[in-house]
Amino acid sequence: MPVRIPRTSPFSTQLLVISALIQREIQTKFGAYQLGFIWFFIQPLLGVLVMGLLLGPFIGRSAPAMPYAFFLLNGFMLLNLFTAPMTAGMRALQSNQGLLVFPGVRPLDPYIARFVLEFVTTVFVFGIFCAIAMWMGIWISLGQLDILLYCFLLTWMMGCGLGLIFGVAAAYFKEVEQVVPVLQRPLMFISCVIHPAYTLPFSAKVFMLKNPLVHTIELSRHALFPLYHLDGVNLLYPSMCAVSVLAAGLILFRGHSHYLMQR
Amino acid sequence: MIQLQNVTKFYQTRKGLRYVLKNVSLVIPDRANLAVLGPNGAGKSTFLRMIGGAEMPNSGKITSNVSISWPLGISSGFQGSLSGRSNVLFVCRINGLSLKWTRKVVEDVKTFAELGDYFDMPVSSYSSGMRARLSFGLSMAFTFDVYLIDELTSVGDANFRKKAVEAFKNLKEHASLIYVSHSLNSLRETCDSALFLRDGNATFYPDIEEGVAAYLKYCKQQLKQSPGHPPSAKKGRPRKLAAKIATKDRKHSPPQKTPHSNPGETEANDDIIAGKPRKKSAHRVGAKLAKKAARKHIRKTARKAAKKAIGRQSQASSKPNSLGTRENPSL
Repeated sequence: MPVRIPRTSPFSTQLLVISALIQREIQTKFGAYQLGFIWFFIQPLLGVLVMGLLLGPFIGRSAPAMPYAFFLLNGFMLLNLFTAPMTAGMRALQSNQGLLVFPGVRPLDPYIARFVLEFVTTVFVFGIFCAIAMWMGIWISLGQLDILLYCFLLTWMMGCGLGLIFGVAAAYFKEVEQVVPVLQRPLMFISCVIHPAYTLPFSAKVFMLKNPLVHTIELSRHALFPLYHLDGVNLLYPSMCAVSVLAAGLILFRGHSHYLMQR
Repeated sequence: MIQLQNVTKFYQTRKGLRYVLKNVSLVIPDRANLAVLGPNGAGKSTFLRMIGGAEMPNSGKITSNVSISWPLGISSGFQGSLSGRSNVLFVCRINGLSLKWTRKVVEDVKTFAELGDYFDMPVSSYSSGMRARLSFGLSMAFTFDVYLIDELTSVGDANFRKKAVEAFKNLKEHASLIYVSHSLNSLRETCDSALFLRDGNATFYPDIEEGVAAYLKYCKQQLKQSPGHPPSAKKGRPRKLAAKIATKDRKHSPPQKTPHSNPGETEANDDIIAGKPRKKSAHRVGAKLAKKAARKHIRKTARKAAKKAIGRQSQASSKPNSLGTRENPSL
């Protein structure tokens, strides 16, 4: 006797679908690599190692409040939180198109699944790194974890919004998939990932502070190391950016969902 | 009962909008095994996807009071990099099945699909027939009131077809089918009413024979209007050579391909067109015979032509495809 599908409310259906999609993403993502989940730790560490060896002796001295390795690590993780959903969003629907035949799977669900997975893995990996650093004797303040989490959330929301926008754009123009990685490249230099913001000359800083990532990255450093010197950054500007970018992405997605579903 | 109210569906392409359904209202009654007919690109698969809820109409409403399966086709709903088992588990998960029922579904699919070791291998390594088995087995493991089937049996081997026919028979006792296929014979076997889609219109025929007759008539008309071109592409300019060939042996016109043609469709198309002029003898059983005869005829004429031209029997004439003149001009 065949199985009858139990009736569920729309909300719980969506939760079921998203959790199933996340499981599936984990299977496909970690199944592809030899080392599986370990790769998530290795990737930022490699970046820290290369940059730390290259730049540590020079820039390290200018940020005396925190070890340069951790300074870099923090920047890389936040940058990853911004770029990963952007890249994931571009192909989220494309690689899950076949699943839309199942009733209950809506076009936004693959995006949500990927975004949530990116956030959870990055925060988890960062937590592990913090724990290791504390075990090694680096003094990390836990008094401002709320601000830290808020910085993470804002960065991630901006990435998600752009992921949705580029996802829609890539459906119309395939070239977007080639252009976006190129646009992401200079982010490391213009987001104060490898150098502290307060060491910049005033005229440069005015421009740099237009980038909301600078605000969240600097603030997250300050949250972990309260002695880290802040200059000209605030939470309001990145919050406004995050909300408007995410809203724009969602509106754009909603407006074009017919076109996105049609293949 | 499934009800369509003023449903309009179009596709946005780079050359403007292409309508699949234009302001269509109709009611599909309960327990009506419905055959969906129409030329390539008429929107049969889209129709199924809309009924199944995978796509939304651009305007209008589709309402139903029955449980409807997802459209089961060859390429639908599987992630290539994951194994058949993981894909089945995924479907169980999104439907919120308990562990007990999930186990049962996996067991059912395994026994129905008979994939052996392939069940635990990535779906991308499957042949289209194996995908069809998995897809079919998966939806047979669930109970629905209406099953949507999209060209599924056309790729299976004899064993699978037999199994599918049996499954359809069992299904008919408690459910109904909406069936898209180009093989008129299998449609006649399983369905009793028909829906004919063309140019954005949909016509419901309570008797399948009426629907099939209308469809064949339409095909014939299209063939006359634009020889050598796919019926859906009206704007195409008929080439002289193509026109000549088509009028010469229209009976055995080559299978027409549109960019959207599914695997297995071409063969079925051949079957319709070749079977048509010999309708007296080849009504049901004779479709295959007619095809065979057609091939024989082609081979004969080819041999004659080759003899005339070169004066000796060419090796190539033994293959029916080697007729250079009969290449589809639209390719």
